[in-house]
Amino acid sequence: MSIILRILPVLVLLSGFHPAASADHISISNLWISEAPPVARVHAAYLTITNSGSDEIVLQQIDSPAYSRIEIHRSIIVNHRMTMEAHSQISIFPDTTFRFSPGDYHLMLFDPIKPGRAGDKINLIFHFKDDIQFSVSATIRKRENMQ
Amino acid sequence: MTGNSTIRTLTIIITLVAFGAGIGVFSARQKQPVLAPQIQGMLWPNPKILQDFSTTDQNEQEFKLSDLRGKWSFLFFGYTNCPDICPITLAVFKDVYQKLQEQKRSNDVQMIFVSVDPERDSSQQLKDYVAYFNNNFIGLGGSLEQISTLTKQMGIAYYHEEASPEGDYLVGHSASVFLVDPEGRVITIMSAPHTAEEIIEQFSEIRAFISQQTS
Repeated sequence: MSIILRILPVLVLLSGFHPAASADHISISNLWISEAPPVARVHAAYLTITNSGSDEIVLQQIDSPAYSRIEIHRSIIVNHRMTMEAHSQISIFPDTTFRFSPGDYHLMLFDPIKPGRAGDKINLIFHFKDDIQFSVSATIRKRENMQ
Repeated sequence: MTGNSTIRTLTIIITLVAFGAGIGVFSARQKQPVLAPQIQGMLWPNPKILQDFSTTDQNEQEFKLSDLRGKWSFLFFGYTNCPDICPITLAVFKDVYQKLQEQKRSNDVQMIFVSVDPERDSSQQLKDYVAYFNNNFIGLGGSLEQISTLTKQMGIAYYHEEASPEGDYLVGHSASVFLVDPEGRVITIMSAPHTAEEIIEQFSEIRAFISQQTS
């Protein structure tokens, strides 16, 4: 089973079909990267992770060949002031869905190799505890009102 | 005869009562103050009157108080390396401005992004950044000292967090949108989250109200 999970990203990539990922109890969907001004050194990505299993899952790391590094952050507004809180990992309880959405939890993607335009696809690799990995294709989209 | 007299008397009384009531209503209307719209964050009747300041725009030209006069200005304070709230707000700005343009109400409106990270946000960086959203948008920067001539009087607090080993740092800043009227007065502070529809609706009400005050 472990071997299957390890080679799953490769199989998914080779298949050319990866709008979302899943391995038994974990699924990643609605993954998108916001198109940013060409000079922006930091981009944001949003997604939904669903844990349909009976054990907690832990997202520990995300990386991509298109960025130098990726961090998990949350935008918080307190007393009309915006700050960001870094998270080293995200735990998702059994039978729970966790959403990264604009103005809340998001992935910070540093130093894009190229700016990227709406419609482009970029692979992100999600590393969960217990050596579970997914490679998921993210679509770059323009932000709409309040996105 | 008696009947006619009664009718005449009643008619006179009714006419007098109606006349009196009319005068009363007219007087009441004359005395009734025009109330400010019930908009959260509206500073009326005590708007913040801005004093002169000196910043640098994206074309490396000085931008000061006189550049706010005669226009309605929407201001947001952020930085170009901000991945979430800043582009979200500027995308809303883009939508607001586009809708006002469609309604032919954008001639005296300006959308301004003020950098609170001027060390990294050069004029060229700001120029490219704001142009991505709309070529008419204004990006303000300059030295920290220059920026503070505006932020201090508007009560804008911001702080630079500790840099990561890679040299990146985050900046905590205001999430609100500030509306300044053509007299250089901060009229409203609009709290996040923002939508274009809400901003336009509030702006229309505020503009009509301020217009009444000055006419």
